[in-house]
Amino acid sequence: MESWKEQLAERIPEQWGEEIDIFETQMELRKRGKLDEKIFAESRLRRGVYGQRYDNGQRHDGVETRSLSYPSNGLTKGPETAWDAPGMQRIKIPFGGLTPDQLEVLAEIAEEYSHGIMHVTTRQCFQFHFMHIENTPSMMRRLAAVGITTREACGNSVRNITACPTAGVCGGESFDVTPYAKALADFLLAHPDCQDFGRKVKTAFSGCQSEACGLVMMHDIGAIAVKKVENGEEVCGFALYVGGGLGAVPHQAKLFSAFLPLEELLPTAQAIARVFARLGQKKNRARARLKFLVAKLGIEEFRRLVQEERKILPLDPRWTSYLDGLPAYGETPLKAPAPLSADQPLPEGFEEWRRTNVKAQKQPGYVVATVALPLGDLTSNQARKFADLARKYVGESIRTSVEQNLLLRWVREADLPELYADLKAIGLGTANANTIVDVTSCPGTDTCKLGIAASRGLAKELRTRLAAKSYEMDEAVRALRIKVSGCFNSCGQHHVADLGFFGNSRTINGYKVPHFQVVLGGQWKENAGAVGQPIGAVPSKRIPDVVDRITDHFVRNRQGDESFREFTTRVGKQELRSLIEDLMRSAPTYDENPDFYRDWGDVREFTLGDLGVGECAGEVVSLLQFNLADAERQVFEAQLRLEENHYEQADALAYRGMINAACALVRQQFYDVPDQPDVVVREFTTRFLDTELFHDKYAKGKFARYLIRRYEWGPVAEDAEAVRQLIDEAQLFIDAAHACYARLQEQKPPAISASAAA
Amino acid sequence: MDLQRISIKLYAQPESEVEARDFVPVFHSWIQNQRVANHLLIDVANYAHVPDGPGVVLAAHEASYLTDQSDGEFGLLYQRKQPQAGELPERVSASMQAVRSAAESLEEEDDLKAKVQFDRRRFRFIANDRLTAPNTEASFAALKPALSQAAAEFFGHDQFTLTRQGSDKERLSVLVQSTA
Repeated sequence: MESWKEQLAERIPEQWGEEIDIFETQMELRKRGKLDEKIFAESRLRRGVYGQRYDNGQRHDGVETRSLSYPSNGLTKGPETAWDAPGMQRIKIPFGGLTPDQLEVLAEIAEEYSHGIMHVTTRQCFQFHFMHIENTPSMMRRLAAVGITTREACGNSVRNITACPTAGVCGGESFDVTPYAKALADFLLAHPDCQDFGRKVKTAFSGCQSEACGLVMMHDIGAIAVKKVENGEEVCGFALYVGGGLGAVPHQAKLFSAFLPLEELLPTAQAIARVFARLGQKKNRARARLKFLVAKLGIEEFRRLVQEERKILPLDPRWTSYLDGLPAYGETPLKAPAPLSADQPLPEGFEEWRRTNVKAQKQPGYVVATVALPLGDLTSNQARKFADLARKYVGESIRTSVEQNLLLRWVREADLPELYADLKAIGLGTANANTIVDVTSCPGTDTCKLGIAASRGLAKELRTRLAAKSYEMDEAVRALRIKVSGCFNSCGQHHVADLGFFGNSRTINGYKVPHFQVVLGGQWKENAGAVGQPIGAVPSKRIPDVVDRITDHFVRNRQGDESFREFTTRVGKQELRSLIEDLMRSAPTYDENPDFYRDWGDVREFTLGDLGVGECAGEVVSLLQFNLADAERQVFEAQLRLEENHYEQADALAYRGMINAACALVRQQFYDVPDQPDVVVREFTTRFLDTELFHDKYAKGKFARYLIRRYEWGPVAEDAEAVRQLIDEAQLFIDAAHACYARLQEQKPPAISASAAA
Repeated sequence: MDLQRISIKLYAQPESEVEARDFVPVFHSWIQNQRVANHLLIDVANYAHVPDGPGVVLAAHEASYLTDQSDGEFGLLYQRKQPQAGELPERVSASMQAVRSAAESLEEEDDLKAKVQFDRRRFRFIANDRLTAPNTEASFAALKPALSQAAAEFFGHDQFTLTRQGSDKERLSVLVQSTA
């Protein structure tokens, strides 16, 4: 029987195929105990293979905490993470753009390796839960065959690059940011300068200043499309922001450049990556995000450092090569525009759906239709049928949104009633997208190791209650946004919602009780222009009452067309808190109402005992450690080739492993060293052998000479014994490189400069 | 055919008046009481908010139990995730035994016994592996002997029909119905 690897070989880009092969080898090495669990953990995270609640082998079942005896016999895929425990797979969807074919493959994967549920995240990705790690290489190959990579979906890397889902069709945009978001995503993917971060980097694009879609102000790097007139001509560029982020302590991004020329976008991002890799915090992960570096240095100093770095970057033709293709970039509508005629029959519910879910495009006769997904979820069956609807009505253009929905662009107005009927038939015709009913939420305690409270449970409850009264709802309330996070880490983006909630816990009558901190007045518009203020923690089961009271107060006391943020600022925290004070204070006894002591959707007694160690930050593994692990992987593969009597390949792999290990050391002093053997051996000799930095107390330079000899003598003959010897030497050389690195760490770390030693 | 990812669905009787959410406390109690032999029960996931989906899932290491409604009809689906020993007919039989046993247990639960009964005169077999068993006539033909053997064991006679279901893009599935 063919494997997916064989069946899809022709359709998988060569580099992606190699990367997946490498990951599969890393899995094998880990199983054989030949790859450290921390390095493997960060390796899998960088392929989007994430942990999930209870993967540490224990779970509170409502009565007691019990061990989950996974059959992996102590084998782990990371610290306190059992190999056989179900995990989460995150799949990056750059700028949220995907085709019907891609959606179908995603649906197949969810069905075969998970439970047939596809979850859209608050950063336009997909997540599948309850996945077994052994299925991930096949899954990656199936995705790669349709142009999707999971590389750098998690871990300390450049995460999914997001963008307005209406880019290119929005009437308010300066210009379409899609090709720039794509170019930057392609450029930074697996880029060597993005492999040594202390934490993740999130990047977003927006077509305008005023709307919310891009959420630029809460991103590490954010680009807003702007235009200016220069010598009488209109010129496009980006207002570039840096150092934004949510998390426990939100930071608004700072303006790095009011107008960054288009051709400077990629090199500037590269320079930012270099400065962050070099100066960003690595040891204290709680302060390792870019926002802390920008805050520590100040935006002026940060800008100066980036500009200095920019000047010495080695020229890369990719910085501008994509610009040549831009004039041809654009989406072609499937059908000619046609208005909705007055005599068209309209299905029941159509008008309401159209009011909330449909937005006119800047191209006359076309609209964008939002498909509201409850909690960001849809089934594989729905996804397949939706892919067919996309083909029928718009062709190729599907986007995910940060509000966990799907969008169809280029729908002609005349098709709307039929589209609505088709969506309704597959359970995707729900109205109330872009309203208070469309509550978004992170996974929370459903699956997240860090979740404190059931964010999805609460979101589901609020959604049900709000939908029931949406018809009688005041328009000002309808336009609000609710966002829920299961903990303070803000994956649900609660800071920038009108009404935000994040999970925490309080002890009442000797019992732990799930609570949500109420955060009011965040600004969703203007690219997440302001964060809200916490006013108090309320028991989880009373949050629906909080929503009712706050929104009622807003309707009754709003002045003119005052926004919710303006309203909350005017009336102040004290008054808002007084509205919910009694909900915070009084509580029934456990005997009176045991349900009060449980979380939404969970019949178990509430506990914090299931909290695990988060993997959001991954493990801080230095680039050198990564490179040495990769060199070892090559030596391992050399052994496999030797066992298959492929001597030439075995020789080449062992030699490559040594070169890469040497290169990793040289990079500590000469960052831009090319990985060509001539250069690496020369630089290694000068910097590590001649200086005796590589010397072991007893072996002196013995292990370095293994490399020099192989370099000078060339490939060993077609001789199994000679190849075996070379492989042994390669392993010893890599071991010596590890020891050398450890010695260097004990001394003062060498300064890294892009230019100094070139 | 070396199919391992086998799914089997037992349909609820049409008169059953059960909702997926009714299974949440039951599945949690099953974890507390370790009610399913040879399965490491891990967690309960509730997807009942999604129409015609997996409903409520009892996730175990070896397999999951879903209150499935993906084909528009309510039922209990056993979705095998880890390999089983034996040849294909034995693996199919083992999966059928697992779902039948779970169905019996559910019918005996105090909170469910008045609400749900499962139909033992038909079941749906799904080959949850497009690589090993693509949805083709050839795969169907290759599966028939094992499926027939397991169906005969399940019904206790050999009077039944096997009907291939699903579009090309869907997984190979077979409706097995007793005609006795």
